[in-house]
Amino acid sequence: MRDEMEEMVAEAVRDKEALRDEFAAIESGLQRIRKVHKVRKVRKVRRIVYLCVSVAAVACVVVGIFVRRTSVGDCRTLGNGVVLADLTIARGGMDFQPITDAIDEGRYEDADRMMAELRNIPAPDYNPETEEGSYRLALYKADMQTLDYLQAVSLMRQGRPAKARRLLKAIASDSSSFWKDSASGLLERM
Amino acid sequence: MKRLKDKDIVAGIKADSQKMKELMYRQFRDEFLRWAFRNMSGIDMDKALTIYTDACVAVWDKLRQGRYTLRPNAAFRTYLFQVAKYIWLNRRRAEKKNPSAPTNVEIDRFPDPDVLSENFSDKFLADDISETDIMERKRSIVREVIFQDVQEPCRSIFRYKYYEEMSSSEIAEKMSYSDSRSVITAASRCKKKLEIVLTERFRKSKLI
Repeated sequence: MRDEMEEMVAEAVRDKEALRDEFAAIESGLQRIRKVHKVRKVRKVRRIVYLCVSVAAVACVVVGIFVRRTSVGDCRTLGNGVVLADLTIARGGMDFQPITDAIDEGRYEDADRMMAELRNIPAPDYNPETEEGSYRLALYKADMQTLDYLQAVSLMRQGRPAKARRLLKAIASDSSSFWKDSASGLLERM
Repeated sequence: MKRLKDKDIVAGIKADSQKMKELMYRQFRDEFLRWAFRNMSGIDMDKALTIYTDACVAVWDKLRQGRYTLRPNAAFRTYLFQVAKYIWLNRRRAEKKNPSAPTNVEIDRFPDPDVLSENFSDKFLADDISETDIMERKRSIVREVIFQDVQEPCRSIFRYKYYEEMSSSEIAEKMSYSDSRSVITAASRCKKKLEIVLTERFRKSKLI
């Protein structure tokens, strides 16, 4: 290449590359700015998401509290509707009167304690082979079932629906229980 | 961002305004990328940006030097995109001829001057011209070829040699050539091919 032409080429290359570098710098600056904007946007979106999640969580908690309060209230109302006078008749010789009185007066701890005491009494040693023994055993079993039902009513009046429901389900599923139908009725209304 | 009018852009380019450089680049960048992805098959983001930058460089230089005047009804955007399209077609043609890495000793051929003159005809074709005019016109053609038509690896070789003023061994290291002699051979091939193209262009423009 002749000197004159080479000089022109060199000059053109220098000008071109200088210009190119300037535009490349503009591009990299632009990308940097966009990256920053993107990061900001992501942060903004994240903030909105966090806010939404927090609001949803708070809403869930509020609704949960409301549902629980309603459920507890309903449970109490239902429990208060059960007439305990019917439960005082003990078939096997157990005295339920103090327990029903304690429940009616709202002394649930006393009632629980008394029920626990009755449960702790060892089962009488009747001979199921004899007619008399079998009868006594059935009466004792009926008393224990009444105790369970009393316990469930006590829990309902205390406003403990989950535990009460568990106990009522157990009573309702026992086909031999005297309180089967009452427990099923309460469960349906809960 | 407020959209600039074509006449303001051209005025800014002629004044070589640094601010206008950025404004112009930003104004058409995204539009160009959308257009490129729609019209240039198989182009990726990096290639599109390189082509856009090269088109901006070419258009900027051409308008700044007063070697091109926008027609009254022509939009600046259309001109810029046309130049980009021309660069892309050139590059694609070169890639088809030499698909291997830029370090390949095979040097790309420059585009057919007929294609060049068809798209970007030289402005000066008068018979009665002075020696200074001839030099000026030659310089103009050289710039046009350098700005729009030189392909890899010649482009990089020229850049390292003339702009970054690297030695042959540095260029060899940078471009993964085996030794400085390969760089010298490649550079001389580039120059020779460039000389052929330029001579043809000068002859076509009746400058020699």
